This record gives sequence, structure tokens and C-alpha cells, in this order.
Amino acid sequence: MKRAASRGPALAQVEDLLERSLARQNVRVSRQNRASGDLRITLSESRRGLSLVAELLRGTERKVLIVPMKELAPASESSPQIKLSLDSSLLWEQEKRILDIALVESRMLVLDSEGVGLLQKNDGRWEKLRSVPAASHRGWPRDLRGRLESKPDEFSAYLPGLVCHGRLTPEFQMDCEESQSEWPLQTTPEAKLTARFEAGRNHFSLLATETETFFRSSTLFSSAAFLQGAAEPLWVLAHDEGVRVYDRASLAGMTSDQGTPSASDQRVDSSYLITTWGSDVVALRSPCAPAGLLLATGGGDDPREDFLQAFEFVNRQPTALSAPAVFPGTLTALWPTVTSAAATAVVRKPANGHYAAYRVAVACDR
Amino acid sequence: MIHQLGRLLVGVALLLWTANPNAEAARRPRYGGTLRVKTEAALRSFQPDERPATAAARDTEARLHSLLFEQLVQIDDSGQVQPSLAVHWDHNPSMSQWSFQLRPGVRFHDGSLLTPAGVAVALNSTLKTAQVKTSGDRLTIESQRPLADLLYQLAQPRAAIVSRNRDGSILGTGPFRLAVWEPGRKATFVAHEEYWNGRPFLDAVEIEMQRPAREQRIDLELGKAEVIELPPTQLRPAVQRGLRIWTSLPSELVALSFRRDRPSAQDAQLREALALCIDRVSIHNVLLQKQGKPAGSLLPQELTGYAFLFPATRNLDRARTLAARGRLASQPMLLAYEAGDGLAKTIAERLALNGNEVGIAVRPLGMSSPATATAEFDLRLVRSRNVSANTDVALLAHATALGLSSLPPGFVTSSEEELYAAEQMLLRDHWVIPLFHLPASYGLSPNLRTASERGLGARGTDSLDEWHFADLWLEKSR
Repeated sequence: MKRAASRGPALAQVEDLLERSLARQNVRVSRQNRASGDLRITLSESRRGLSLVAELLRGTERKVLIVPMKELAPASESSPQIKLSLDSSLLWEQEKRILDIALVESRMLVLDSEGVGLLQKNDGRWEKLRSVPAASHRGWPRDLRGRLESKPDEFSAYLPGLVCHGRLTPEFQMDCEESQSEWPLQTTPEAKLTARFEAGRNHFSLLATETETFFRSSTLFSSAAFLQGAAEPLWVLAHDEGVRVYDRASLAGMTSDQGTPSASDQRVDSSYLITTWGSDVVALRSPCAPAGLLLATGGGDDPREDFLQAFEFVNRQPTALSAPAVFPGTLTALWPTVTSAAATAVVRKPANGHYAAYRVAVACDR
Repeated sequence: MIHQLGRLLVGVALLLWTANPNAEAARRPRYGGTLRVKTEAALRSFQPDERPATAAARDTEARLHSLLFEQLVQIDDSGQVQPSLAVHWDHNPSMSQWSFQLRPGVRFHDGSLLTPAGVAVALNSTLKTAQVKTSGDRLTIESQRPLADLLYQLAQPRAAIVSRNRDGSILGTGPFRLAVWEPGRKATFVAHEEYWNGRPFLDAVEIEMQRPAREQRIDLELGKAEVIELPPTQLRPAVQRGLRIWTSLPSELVALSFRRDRPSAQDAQLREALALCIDRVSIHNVLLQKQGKPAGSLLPQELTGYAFLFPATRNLDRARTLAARGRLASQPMLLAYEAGDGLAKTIAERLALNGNEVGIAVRPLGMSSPATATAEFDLRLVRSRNVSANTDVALLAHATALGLSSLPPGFVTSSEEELYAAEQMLLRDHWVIPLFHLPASYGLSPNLRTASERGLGARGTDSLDEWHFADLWLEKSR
């Protein structure tokens, strides 16, 4: 492989991905003159648009492959690539792990590893008024997760193996019981999505809508989102191996009797996998993306930063709608607000080990 | 190939299009899977009160210890005491009486609850100079003398809270329990489902022992291991082969220790001459493949910040002068090293050459147990582990390992200057010659991840050689 004198981050990414992918196919990239063949990749521009051109040269053998970029995710006048921005504002920071946050009128509920805290703004600053405990007799699992669902005067907190119901008035109180009940993932008019959380673990094992239940024990997922889509509805589930995008037919394959079809079996499964996203996705509603937009986490092993990016789906392929919004640590939670107009993102900051919760909103300003 | 290229290019193009700053995204930790670890050492026994015969086995035992056992308190990376099985403690003004509140709901591997009475039984056999009693739901420790270093003592592996089954097998409260034990060959640990700090991500950890370094590397490359040891001599080939490598903070001190009861070691000028003739730089560059650092101190710079004050430079002229003045014995000095330790052997041989350069005859001698008093040798090559990020604990452990008896058992310093003075005092008469501070290096499989910022697999270079296996997880192949 010959490297250009200077290369930007995008090219470095391509090169790294290329080398790793080739290594998995037992092709080792050499920067010296010992290689048994050459693989030359060119990002080519023509009037028809951008193409990636690959040439594999081994002796007299030469194979060429051209992939037009527009086939993958076309950009058009009607769908510009970057047309919104993600605005994040810090809500609250504390030492204990924040699991979710809900804003209830002028008050804020903070679900953490010890219970739910009630906060109120005083002189522009949030102050904790009270807290109510929540504990499981068997202790919490690693990578603890939790979910808050709020109404004007009452709330529910979902924790692994535990469900708590509370009221804000006349007195702030909460009662918890051991339960495997389903957690609310998305409560938009288009879809009410719930999922069963596995107590003692950090993932879900059952996905349900109001009318259908999709289940397969071996198909675990960390998060799920539903998008109305311009042409067809899509379900996006974050599995261990990556984020998989399903249409109705492929999701139906997840029902308990049929099982999940093999991803390579195109006859029965039209779902596909995205490996460049992280484990958390949420669907948001925004006037600048009428068919719905998806927030997806990303980032590498570096604990100093993760990022969120907004996507929409065109021809079932994801198209970036925003630039990545960078957060100062590892994203540990991402949930939609009750109306799905915004999301709550929680970050563990490596500098002090604290957890910081952000409200992430979509601005149609680009 | 074209088909594979096509899939590859689709991935590349999608990557470009979505403009993600990183090609592979961080994922939530995944539960499940078995971690396969290969070690060269053979651990014959896993009893807390039995000391393995070789340094390598002792290191392996120390690393595995944290899988099974826990202490009342632990020491963090900055050397501070943190709660573990005890959540609160206090003491009287003279520090002769301590009271501990145990963490509620902790269970041993057989499901039995941790109780103050059980902890008292476990600690009474460890703390020789103190009495451990129960008082309601609290634990009290009393002594005739102040126990200023009690928390550090309680953080040591020997103070682990161990229970025994009726069949005599040992039980701990740690994140894994021992499921299979084949002495010297294999150990399998499975997740402790009721672990108080959250069940480990991994289902099991398999340790295969007595695996030579070369075979370990092949295991990793063939996907038959997730963690292998990388001795300094294996590091460069591993880098060249593109293996994923994790290197710790300096985890061990390599030093020479003279025997005080040997006539040939009594001459301080000869000891200093030997210290000055050692070519640490060459050994570091060639034998150690530039791993670690030449050392003039017992504790590494990373722990104290003052190690550079202890010179490790060679001065052949002065070494020759001192050697000429010294009382050279007619017989060569016998330099013992642990038989079977290839790195120690090569370093000892090089030290013998350095000695010869100034007229000090040194003969390396591989011994199965060089620490025993009856063994015939004048000085020995010691590999002493940095047991703690707490500098007092680490210095005391090195002093003990090197036969330096100048530090009191309850050694606690209150300032950096005090620590420096103590170390200076230990090294003043050249009974011990520090040689190198070495890190531990491991080869890791591409799918191994950690949810911890400490220990094996953590990013950065500021972690000790610790195996926090409860935080490790295996990414599913994509």
C-alpha cells in the first residue's frame, strides 16, 4: 500500500478499515516492496458523482470494482446531507451513575443507582429537594441501566428486576416491587414500543408494540427505535454485533416460532447490519425530518469522548442529517423524552468519574 | 474476491458517507463468553496460606487472587484506601482500637452470608499482633500498640476474607468462584452470580498454565486465547506481527541483593564497585528490548516522582578504583537466580561480564530456591513485584523481598521526603542494587474489551498490573 504524503482523518479511517478488513480475509497489507499483489483504491469524481474504484493487481491478473457512491446513500437537493444540528445542554452532574432524567414542569427527576431524586430550580440552579430509595435485594448488575417515565404528577422508574411507581404530590414518594414488566422505550403516536429488560444483565430480550410481540431469546438487544419512514416503517435494534435495521417482514421473522433468519439469506431477510454505530439508538420527532430521525451513538475505545449523530433513512439506508455532537466521555445512557422531541444522554466523564446528563434537542437551522 | 471487495467497499463508502469519526463504535459491555488466559508459570496450589515456589507462580497467584478473594479494604491506583467488604471504619485517638462496619448482603461463593463472626475467624489467623472480635454487627480490632498501618495490612492479599467448606475447599466473596482446579495445568473460574458488586460480564475464565511463550503467541494468533503473557523478549516480534498489546505501569523491580552472612559480601567498596560497573543501558536495550527503565531506586518514578534522584549510571573508572581497593575473594562471587527464569539467567550472565570488566569475578548460578538460607550463594537476582500503588506498602514489600530488615513492620510515612529518606537509607550501603523497573505486557485478542479504567486492557499507561476480570467482556465478532 502506498500512502499519500498527507492524509486526513477520513482517509486514515478508510485505510485502517481497509487493512483490518483485508486482514480478516488473510490479505496482509505491506508498505514495503514485498507484497505479492497490489490493491489500489481511488476515490474518483466524475460528472455522475463520486465512485470508489478498487484495483487488485497480482502479476498479470487485474480485477476492478467500481462502487458509485450515489448507490449507497444519494444526496439530493430535496435531502441535503446536513440539514439540522444537535443542541446539547447540561442538565445535571453527580458522582453516582445517572440512569435517566425526566423534566416535569419546573422540576426534575433524576434516576440513579440509589433511587430517584427530586430537584427544583432555585436562582437558575438545580437543587436536590428529596430523594427516595430504590434497591434490589440481589444488587445491581454491571453496566446498570434504568428508565424513567413521567406524567405531570406521577412517575415510574424501571430498574433491572424492579419497577417503582411514585408521586410528586402531596408528598414525594415511591414504592417499588420486584417485577419483570416491560420498559417503555418509545411512546410516540406512531408507535408505542416496550421491551423486557433482563434482570441481572444490561440488555433486552423481548420487543413489543401495542399490537404485536416480537420475541426470540437469542436475539438480545441494547436499545430499539421505531421510525415511520418515508416509504415504509423501520425498526432499528442494537444487537451485540451491531445495529440492525428491519422492515416489517424481517422483524416478523423474529417471532418466537420462526426465529431470526440468517442475515445472508436475502430471500427471507432484508434486514441489514451497521457496525459503525454504538449500542444506543433513539427515534426522535422533528419537523425537519417528517419521516422521523434516529440518534445513534458512536465512538471508539477512547473513554474521553463519544458522539451522537442524527440520521434519516432514505431507501432504507441511513443518511447523516447532522454533524456528530461530541460528548466529553463515554455515553452510558440514551433515552427519548416522553414526547420524543428530545433525548437524554448521560456521559461518564473520565476526568472526575462523574456522570453528566444532557438534554439533546434537534434544531432545524441548517 | 471481487464479491468480498464489493462488500468491503460498501462498508468503506458507508463509512465515508456517514462521516463517523471512528470506524468501529464503542459498544455496551456484553454479558457472556469464556476468557481464555495462558500463562507460562505453573501454580500448584491455590491456598492463601501457601506460598508458590517460583516468582512467576507467585505473580500468577497474585493476579488470580483478586478473582476469588476480597479484603475489608482495597487500595486504589492513587494509593488511597477505599472500601471493599467494609464500608465504614473508625478508630480511637491512639489507633489501637478500630471498628469496622461490614457491607450488607455480601455472599460467599456457596451462597452463605458474610458475617462479622466469619470475618473475625478469617482475620484472627492473619493479624498476629491484634485481636479481632465482633460487637453486634460490627467488627473490632484491638492491639496493645497503635495500628497506624492497619488499613494497609487489611488491604493485602494475605488478609483476604476466606471461608472453608466442610470438605476443606476455600471460598471467597470475589467476582468468580473456582470451578475446576488441575494443579499446575488448568484452572476454571465461573461467574459468582450473587457477587455484591454485580455479576461479572464473563461467564467463565479459563487459565491454562505451563504454556511456553511461543505457543501462547500462536494461541492468540489462532484465536485460541484472549490474553497471553508477553515477556520482554517476545514484545518486539509481537509488535511486528501487529498483535494488540497492553502494557502496565512498572510492575516489578529487578535488583541484586547481597547476603549479609557471607564474608565475600561484607566489603562495602566491592558492593559499590559492582553497582557502578553494571551496564544497565546495554541490558535494557538488548536483553529487555527497551522495555521498562534502568533503575537506581526501589520504587519506580511513576509511583514516587523522585526516582530520578537515585542514579543508575555506569562509572567504570570509579568501579575499577573501588574494586582495586576492595578485598577481593579468591573465589568468584556466586550470583543466584531462579532456575527456569530465562530472563533472569541472561541478565545474570551479563552482570557477570560487567563484573569481570572491573576485576570482580561473578559466577551465575541457577537455583531452584535461591531464597532459602541454606543455599550457597553470595548475592541473588531478585524479581520483586510492586504489590500496591501505596508507596509505603510497596516499599515495605520490596524491602522484605530483598532481605532488607531496616523498615519496621508498621512502616508508614507522612510525606514524600520521609519516603525518600527511607528509601535512601535502604540503599545507602549497597546491600541492594536496583537494576530495572519492568512493566508487565500482555497480548490481547481484538475482541477483548474492558469497562474499567484500571488494570488489564485499560487505555493509557497509568494502570498497575492488575487483572480486573470482572470488568472484562468479549465483543461479539462482526
